[in-house]
Amino acid sequence: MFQGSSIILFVVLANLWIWKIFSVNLFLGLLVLITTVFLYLYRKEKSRLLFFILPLILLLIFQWNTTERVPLTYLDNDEQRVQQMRLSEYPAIPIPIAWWFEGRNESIAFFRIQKNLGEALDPNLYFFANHPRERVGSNEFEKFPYIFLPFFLLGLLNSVKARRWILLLSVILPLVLISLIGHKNPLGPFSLFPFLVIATMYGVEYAMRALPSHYKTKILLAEIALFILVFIQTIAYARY
Amino acid sequence: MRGIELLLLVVTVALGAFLYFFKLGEIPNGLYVDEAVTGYNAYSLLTTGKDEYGKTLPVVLRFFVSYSPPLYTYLTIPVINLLGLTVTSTRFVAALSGIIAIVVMFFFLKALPLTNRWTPFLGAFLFTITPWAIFYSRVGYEMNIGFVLFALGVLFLWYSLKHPFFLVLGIPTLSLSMYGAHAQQILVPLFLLGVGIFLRKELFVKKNKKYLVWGVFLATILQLPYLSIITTPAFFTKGSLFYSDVITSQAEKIANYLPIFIAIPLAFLREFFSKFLTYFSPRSLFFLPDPDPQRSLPELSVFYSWMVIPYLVGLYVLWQQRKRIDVRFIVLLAAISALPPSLTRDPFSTQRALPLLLPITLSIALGIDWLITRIRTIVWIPAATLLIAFSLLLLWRSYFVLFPHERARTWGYGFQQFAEYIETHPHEHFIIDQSRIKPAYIELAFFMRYPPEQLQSAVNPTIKDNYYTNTQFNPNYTFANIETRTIHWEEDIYKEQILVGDELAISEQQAKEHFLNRVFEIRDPLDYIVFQGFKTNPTQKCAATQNQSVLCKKEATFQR
Repeated sequence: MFQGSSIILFVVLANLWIWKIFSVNLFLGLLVLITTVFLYLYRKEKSRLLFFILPLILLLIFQWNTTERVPLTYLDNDEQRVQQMRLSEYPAIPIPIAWWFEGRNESIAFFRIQKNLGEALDPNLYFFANHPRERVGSNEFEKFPYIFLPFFLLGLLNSVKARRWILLLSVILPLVLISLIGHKNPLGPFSLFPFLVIATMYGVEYAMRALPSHYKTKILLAEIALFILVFIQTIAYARY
Repeated sequence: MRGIELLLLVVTVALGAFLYFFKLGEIPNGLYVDEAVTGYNAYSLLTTGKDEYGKTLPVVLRFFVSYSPPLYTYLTIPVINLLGLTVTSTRFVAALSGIIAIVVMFFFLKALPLTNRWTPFLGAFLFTITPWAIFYSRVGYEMNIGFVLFALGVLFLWYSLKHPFFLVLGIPTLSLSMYGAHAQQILVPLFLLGVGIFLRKELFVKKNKKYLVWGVFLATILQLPYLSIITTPAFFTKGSLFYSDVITSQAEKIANYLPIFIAIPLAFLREFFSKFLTYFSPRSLFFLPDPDPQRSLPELSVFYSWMVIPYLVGLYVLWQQRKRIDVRFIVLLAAISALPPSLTRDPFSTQRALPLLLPITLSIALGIDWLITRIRTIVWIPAATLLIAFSLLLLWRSYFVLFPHERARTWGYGFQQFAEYIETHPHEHFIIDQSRIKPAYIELAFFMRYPPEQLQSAVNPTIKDNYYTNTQFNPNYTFANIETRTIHWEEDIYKEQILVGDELAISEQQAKEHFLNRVFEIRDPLDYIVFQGFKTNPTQKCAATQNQSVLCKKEATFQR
């Protein structure tokens, strides 16, 4: 009853993120969709790798261009104040360890990359609009309804087990980029959208196969009902 | 255990002893109010057999109507007897608990079916240097004793799957842990219920019956003191932490689209699951500190950032091996440990989620086991050495350099110096502005080693008589030459005394207007004012106001 193509259509459309992207930039929305579709099609025909890589690269370029990039070593006024304060906190020792930690561009860049990576690895960002650890100064918005979360985790774990390396590529490249350029993008880390959708799709497929056949219809109906309620909830939060 | 293995364990424990005891009285810099109340009540129990309110050997300790589990305080009594009432003696039991936790973690890892024989040592070593473990091993209140007893009970329960006798130790130990910390009061019953349901085939077999009965019997005996107060508000005080108001306000958003009887459960589901997930999120565990400055280290999360790799690998191993009993046990432990903090307001509380330290460390260890089995020894040993060295550097930076400076004020820095000032000015009367600071009376009582029987007599005696039911707390105290309350500007400036507060309590303009003279200033390591004291000048004030106040009389000075 539910094939991969119908599942992916469902997951792609039943989230607020794609509609937000479309509402801001139609071309970008189409690009996100195309990349997602080709990532899905790749599993059927491995020869379509190029068809997936090219739009992914384009997507990464868009991510780069639309993100308000701040140099990794840039310190605003408050950060400079904290830096000066910290330089004086270290004990007087022969090696300039205070400067190595607080002053060197490499250290500043390292800690900033670490912070950016941490934000991108937070599942709450994608399923709960970063609640309850919303970022100060960021306009958090709803992306996927949280009911997709268990399917996403299921799909991700099974993909690792099945060694779906292309899916891992679709997450590693955006993660590297976002770690370097940060999160100041009104549309969020949309280059991760294809990965999130396909992993969720795999999870839904796996769950459907795992369901005992005599309960399948009932569970599916219950799931659909719950999904509708959660989706309405997500819309309500987004519109508030 | 072979010689080399024993040596590695000893080295790990020795490192833990160094990390947990080094400068224990100086870092954290200051004495947090929860530590002060714990230490002072232990001192009071030692010298008088009663707590600060005059209650003899209470089942739970009223403190600031938190009705805290008593075990830590009672265990601190012999330490204070030996070392005196000091910051070190107050934190001692936490540090010792941390050492014991290292050993517990090691034996837990040894009991798991790991592939590499070095994983238990590596896992125990990493646990020892984990910021989360170090932080709560140096904090002088109940968290760590609750954690180590819980971990020990869980270990015994794990052993009991092969050796049923350990049920007689495990269940009572878990019961005892409920006297350790608040989290365990919810966690232990839930965990035992979970084990009873999900591991029923392994537990409820005929050969286990007598051990189960004995274990439950001993655990119940241990709970009798708690059960004696079950009908009082003191039995469970953390209900106010539940986010019912958040659910209501979130449900109002949904109520525009759905009926309220659907909106409320949906709001709860989202709030609960978002918080539950946060406790397993890589961002919270490896990249971001606890948002509460009192419970976190500057620039360091609860684990080191590189540990995200073995953590994610460990999650994969847990999934792959999900039919194994040890995996089911760890997953059950993790899921239940995250339940209590997920029901509270805090976005991420390292304190309430401390029991999670155990399953997450186990998960990281599983990931490490998987990795080092697949990586050549000649590669992973130098890599591990580098990562450990880097972690220790980050720890030194955050814990021993930044933390004592930047969080000193949060940790009650300044009270010791203030107490010394009070003791060297016995003929002065001090009014301490209580409006913006944590209860000052207990910090001063601690550092002044104020005789407990005298503090007990300063307390409303009805509190002792309604110890477990009186849930009103008043931080205003009068004892020795001290009053802690808000400053009453219409009266206090007409009496000869010293008004004390933080930098906002008394402005320069007020000082000028009321002829106040600054007599002392206590600053934190970052040079911010913690306390400032102003001596009043009633004569000048009265003269300036032409004796308008009724207090402008000759006898408007305190007689001590």
